[in-house]
Amino acid sequence: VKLPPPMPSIVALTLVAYHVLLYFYPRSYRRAYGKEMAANTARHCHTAYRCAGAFGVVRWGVRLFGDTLRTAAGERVESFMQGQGDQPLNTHHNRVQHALVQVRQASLLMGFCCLLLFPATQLLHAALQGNAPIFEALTAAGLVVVILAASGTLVLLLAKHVYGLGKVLLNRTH
Amino acid sequence: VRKGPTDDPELAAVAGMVTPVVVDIMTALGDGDRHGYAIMQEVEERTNGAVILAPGTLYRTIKKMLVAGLIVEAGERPAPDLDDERRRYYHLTALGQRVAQAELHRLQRQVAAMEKKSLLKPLLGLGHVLSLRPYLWSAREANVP
Repeated sequence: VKLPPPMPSIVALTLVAYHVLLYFYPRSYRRAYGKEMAANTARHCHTAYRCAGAFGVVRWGVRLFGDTLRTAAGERVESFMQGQGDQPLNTHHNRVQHALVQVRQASLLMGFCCLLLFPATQLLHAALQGNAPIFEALTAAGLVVVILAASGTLVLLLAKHVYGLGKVLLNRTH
Repeated sequence: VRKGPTDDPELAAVAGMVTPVVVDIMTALGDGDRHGYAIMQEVEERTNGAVILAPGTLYRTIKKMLVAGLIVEAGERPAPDLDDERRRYYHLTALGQRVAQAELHRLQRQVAAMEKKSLLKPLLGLGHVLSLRPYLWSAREANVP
């Protein structure tokens, strides 16, 4: 049996990172296009590696990162405005439930960004012995993300309680 | 199509969504059904690498075009041994073809207007000189005055 050639580590790393990045998209979009996007990315990564080596893959990876963040943000906004495909926003119940899901996902995403950004800035800061002001600014940005993630979770908890209370009151009035 | 007045209500409904990426995808599907990666490759080859559609941009635009009815998922697929089942093939609809033609007419009008205002003359002049260069060289080699 002839085994396929081993995948270069830079290509494998890029593909793993892209699979993680796909979680930035809403679930419905990911289900519809995620597999195809990942397959296309894999093919393009192999082509880039053949043509330009590791540099080609890194260049494509940077482009993918920017493209994914931009389009995922757009899809998130659209998903929030229009509602999920299987749950139209035709009742107050669905609207509130959808808003809560979006808040929860936004806070999770912010936490994920924080996990990536914070250690990276700390490492770079340590590597340059704390002399570059840009890394001070990045560390501050990391802290802002932590605060936003925490406040997002807080809003979620509050909204859940308020929603639960409102639901009980609505049931009583009906 | 873009923001121009049109009598056709169907074209007017999709007027706002005709972006350069949409035009690139419609052009790629002009000569037959293609899957997403084939569209990426066609656009890259046709533009000599000047335009590379990243997957996020490509599939987001495809989603919008599907909703607007400019393309549909093609029913026919190649033989299973030649095909990857994850792929979906896209087909340009009649509405998509009309939108592409309207965009072509808009671009032709744009070029005509630019020519009228002498905006294209220097470029065309340079193009003519460059296109005549091989003939000039061969004339010089043959000692033709």
